[in-house]
Amino acid sequence: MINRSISSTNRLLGARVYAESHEWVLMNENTATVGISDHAQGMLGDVVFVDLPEVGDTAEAGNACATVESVKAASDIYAPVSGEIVEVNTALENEPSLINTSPLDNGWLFKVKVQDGEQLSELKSEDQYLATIEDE
Amino acid sequence: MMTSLMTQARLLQKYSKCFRDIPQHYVRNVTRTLATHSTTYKALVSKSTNIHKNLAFEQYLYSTIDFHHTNLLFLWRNDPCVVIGRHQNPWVECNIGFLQEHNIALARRHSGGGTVYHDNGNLNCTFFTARNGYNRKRNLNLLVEAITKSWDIDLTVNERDDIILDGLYKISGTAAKLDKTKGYHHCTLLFNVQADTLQEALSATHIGCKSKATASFPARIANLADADNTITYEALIASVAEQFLAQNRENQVYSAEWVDPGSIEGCKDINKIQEDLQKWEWVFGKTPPFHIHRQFRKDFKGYSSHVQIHLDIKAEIVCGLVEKIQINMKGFDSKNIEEFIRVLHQECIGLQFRKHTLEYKLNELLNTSHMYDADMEIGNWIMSCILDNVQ
Repeated sequence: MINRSISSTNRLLGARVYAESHEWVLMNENTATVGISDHAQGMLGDVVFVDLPEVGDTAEAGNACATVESVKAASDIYAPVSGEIVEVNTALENEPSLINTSPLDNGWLFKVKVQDGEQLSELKSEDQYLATIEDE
Repeated sequence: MMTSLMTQARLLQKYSKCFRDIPQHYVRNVTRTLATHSTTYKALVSKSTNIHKNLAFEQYLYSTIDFHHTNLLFLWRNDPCVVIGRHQNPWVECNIGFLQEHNIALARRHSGGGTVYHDNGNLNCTFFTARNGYNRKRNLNLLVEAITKSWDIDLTVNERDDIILDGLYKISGTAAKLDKTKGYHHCTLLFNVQADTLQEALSATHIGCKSKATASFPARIANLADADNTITYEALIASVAEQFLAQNRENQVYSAEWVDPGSIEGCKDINKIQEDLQKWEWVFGKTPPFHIHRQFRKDFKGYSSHVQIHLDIKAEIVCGLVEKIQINMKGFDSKNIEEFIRVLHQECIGLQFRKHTLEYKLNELLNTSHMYDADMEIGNWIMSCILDNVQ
């Protein structure tokens, strides 16, 4: 119950919530902007290419929907919520390093029109997320 | 051993289904108990030398096996081929015409990194682990230790995760693929590749191409056999597998198992993955969007007067298809050629950026263009300039 009320508050305040697989979600009405955490970009190293989904694709929560390439490794990025992809960050085509320099703002990946708001309650608040990465 | 790995994968799948019906605290206890089990190290050698078959087998092992308690080393080699990274541009990275002439296969892998040439003188090593066990430096150090234990040669691992011979020559390149629960790191080990074929295959003839794709980092290469000619495929496999399997506890004795991916239980699934890997839409179509801008000039003699024609060709290629082509010609006025170029702009859109596809279409346009003599000669030249971009 406590967790749920925290995430509801976060949604109201427009705070980021996080998936265990290190993606963040920022809600604006029913559109979720998705990116990866500062911790995740640090683990990846210098990003050289981002393969984004196409606008109109359907993302399934928990499924891989983008790939980020850094220091010779291709890493899957997972959709934290389900829904239609309504926008992708085209600035990453020319400047994939935005993921490293501004993971929480200019380095966002894509926007999803959220179908089921309940999926957000499965995600962690920033404090909860930071506590889990300390355990790693 | 393949059977036992597959059985293990199936059992884990079965148990994970059962777990849903069991109280969560019980599952956590069981998981904790399992987690205390130490890791088992196993090694497989593929009997196939087909790049697409081996990449499919690698992908199959990756997707079907649970690597929480198993670290798997997969060893394989291929007939001559060029392998590009997940986000690379084959038109920029290799000499496609040379590959076709010499029957050298071209493949795109799922991992990142740069372009490599393989033949029977190259051993590929794939290290599969759980996500938290992924460690490229450890794998490369294991290889260096295995080789230097058997042969007296100077090998080091550099900051790019290449293995370097005598402080100068690259003998191994690395790439990796990661998801949230597992990952693999694979690398090449050049022991006796045809160095001149490698150079030719990887020397792209393409110019005037702008691309955001991952670029390769060319390096001076050498073969392990240059340092010691007793380093052969079988000897290398024996020493690498022995070093890897020595990580098992004393009571667990394993040896490397030779497997034919075409005859195991999952061969149908492997064939399906292989089909997808061979599709033009994957090998070429997966290329990030790119632009071409080329200029050509030619003197045409024997007309009413001597003419010099300038041609400016711009093309945009998206998903391997011609998104846009723009040709500007200066130095010769001809309504017929203008019309040919106008039709060409429309008719090439959506075509695969592929020599025989474009050649077929351009020939068709020339034959239906009503151009003769000088016009036709110039039309043919325009066609050869366009095809020069495709290799």
